[in-house]
Amino acid sequence: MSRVQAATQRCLDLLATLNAGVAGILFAALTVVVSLQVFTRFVLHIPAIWSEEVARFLFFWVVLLGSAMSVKSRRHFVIDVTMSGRPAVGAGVAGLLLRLVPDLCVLGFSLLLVVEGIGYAEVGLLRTATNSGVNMALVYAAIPVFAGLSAVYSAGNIILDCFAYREETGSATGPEAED
Amino acid sequence: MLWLLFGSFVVLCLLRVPIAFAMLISSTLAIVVQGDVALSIVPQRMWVGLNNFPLLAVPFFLFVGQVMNDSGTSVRLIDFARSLVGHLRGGLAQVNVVVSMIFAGISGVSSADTLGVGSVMIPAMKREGYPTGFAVGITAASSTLGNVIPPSLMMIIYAAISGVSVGAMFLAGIVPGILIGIGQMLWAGGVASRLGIGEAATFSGRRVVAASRSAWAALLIPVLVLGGILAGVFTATEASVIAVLYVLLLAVGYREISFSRLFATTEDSISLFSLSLLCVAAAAVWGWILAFYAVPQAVVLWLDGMGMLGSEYMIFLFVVLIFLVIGTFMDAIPAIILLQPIVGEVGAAGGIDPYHMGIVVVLTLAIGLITPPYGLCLLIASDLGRIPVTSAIRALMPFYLISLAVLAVAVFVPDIVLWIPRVSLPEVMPGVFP
Repeated sequence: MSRVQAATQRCLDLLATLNAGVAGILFAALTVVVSLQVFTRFVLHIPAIWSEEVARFLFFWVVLLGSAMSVKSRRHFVIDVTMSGRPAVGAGVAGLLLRLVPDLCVLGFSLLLVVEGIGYAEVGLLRTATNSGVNMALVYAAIPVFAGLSAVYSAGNIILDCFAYREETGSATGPEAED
Repeated sequence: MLWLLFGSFVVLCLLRVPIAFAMLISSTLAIVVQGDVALSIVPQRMWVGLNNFPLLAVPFFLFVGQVMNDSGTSVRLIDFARSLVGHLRGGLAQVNVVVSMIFAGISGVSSADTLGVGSVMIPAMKREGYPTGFAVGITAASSTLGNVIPPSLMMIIYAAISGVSVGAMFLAGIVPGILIGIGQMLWAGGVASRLGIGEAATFSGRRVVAASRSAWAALLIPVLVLGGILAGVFTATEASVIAVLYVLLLAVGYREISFSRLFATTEDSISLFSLSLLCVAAAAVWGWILAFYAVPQAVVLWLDGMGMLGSEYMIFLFVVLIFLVIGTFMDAIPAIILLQPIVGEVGAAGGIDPYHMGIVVVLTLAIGLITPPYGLCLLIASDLGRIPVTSAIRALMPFYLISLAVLAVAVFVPDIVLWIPRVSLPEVMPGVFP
């Protein structure tokens, strides 16, 4: 394992840990907020007006942070026409390229979504949520964050795959040819 | 433009681009090439798709299943089911079905059931002399009940997308779930008596009491969730968070889960439920494009032209066939999400009750969970039994027939299925007894 490869792996893992930590905290917060809503409705009989809204905002963030995590682990649903649950790709450069296509597509789309997502979040700056007073830019910001993380993870996966390929074949036709 | 939308989607899927991203990318391509709509529609629709309170039940019911597996609650439930039906002919096979039914009443995901129940039951059944194929088959087949017996992730997503009540959808799953369970138990008894295994234990009331003493707390969850929804006290989302608090309390109470383990479970759950929910976000973009090009209406016109909308049963045949085919190579939830914009329109055009359609869709896709090449429950169970998927297919045949028979009941005699929601949630489902 080369130094660049190890460093890439370490950076990705660090980012993923941070990502999972924030997602976990937000999920805990989501649980608390929805519980509070149930509590205020059934026990206090004065349903809180802000909790339903805040719960939806937290949910949006948790889902998008979680989706980014699954980009890194390549866990997202794919259509499977093989029996094994694994891609049926051959060896060699063609096989490598075929294996990289999904991550390349995710990378390309994510980069576009970063731009569009930032634009959308900027529009949100002008709006506040009715019941909770949360600025909508804070909510919409989940989209560019998700897109940015997905771009980093898919790019990281591509780089690591190229290194692994070069190690397997022992040849020099690796990452340089791909970028 | 449509050829670009569908063509690029199919190509991307064949290249193993994740379904959610394939939907997003092909929608984006269609928007760019068409040129009249700004691309900001993409983030906007993603937000609209997820900004839906009933969807909050998805993470909670999934989390419940994960915590149950990680905290040993599943094992206590198995002991309980064993004390209850372990003495019957084909004892362990019966236990497998019964525990799946109980598990299904607590968690909303079939795959958690396959993993939790299968990892204990498949080795146990092998030790008692059951053929591995049968042990794998019954584990996979019974765990599909996880999505038929409420709570059910498939039903939450269907209801959220179609704008119908999650609670009423849940209640519609009770009768078909019990019918499938009974069918599977009868078949298991038949197989066991043919093989001459599993009649060793005797029934003991004392054992039932002992087992229920350690399982009663978990057994209260279905009572709480279903009872609350049946009585119209809780919404499904409220019930889901109550279930989460309850299993967490149990896990801490039994001291069966450490903090670090709980964190790992949470992380895994977040990553798991995001898979379905990112599809929901992507489908909001996809559905918008379909509506923009009036695709659902075009399909309705096309079907009408072929004279298929005249008969309710032709529509059901069309829907069942599509979902059976799609369900063999795609996960159930993305299948619902992808097709619901069209199926909903077709159902409405044919005057079909959306709850009736919903239960037919869920029952069809539950079969998809155990059909190769991509049947998640089948894959997990074969993995646990360490046999290739193909070795379980023969044992699964009767289970396909049982599920299809119950599906037929749901199509032809909807009153059997829909009376519970009609009686307990009349404000949601106006009592239209024909």
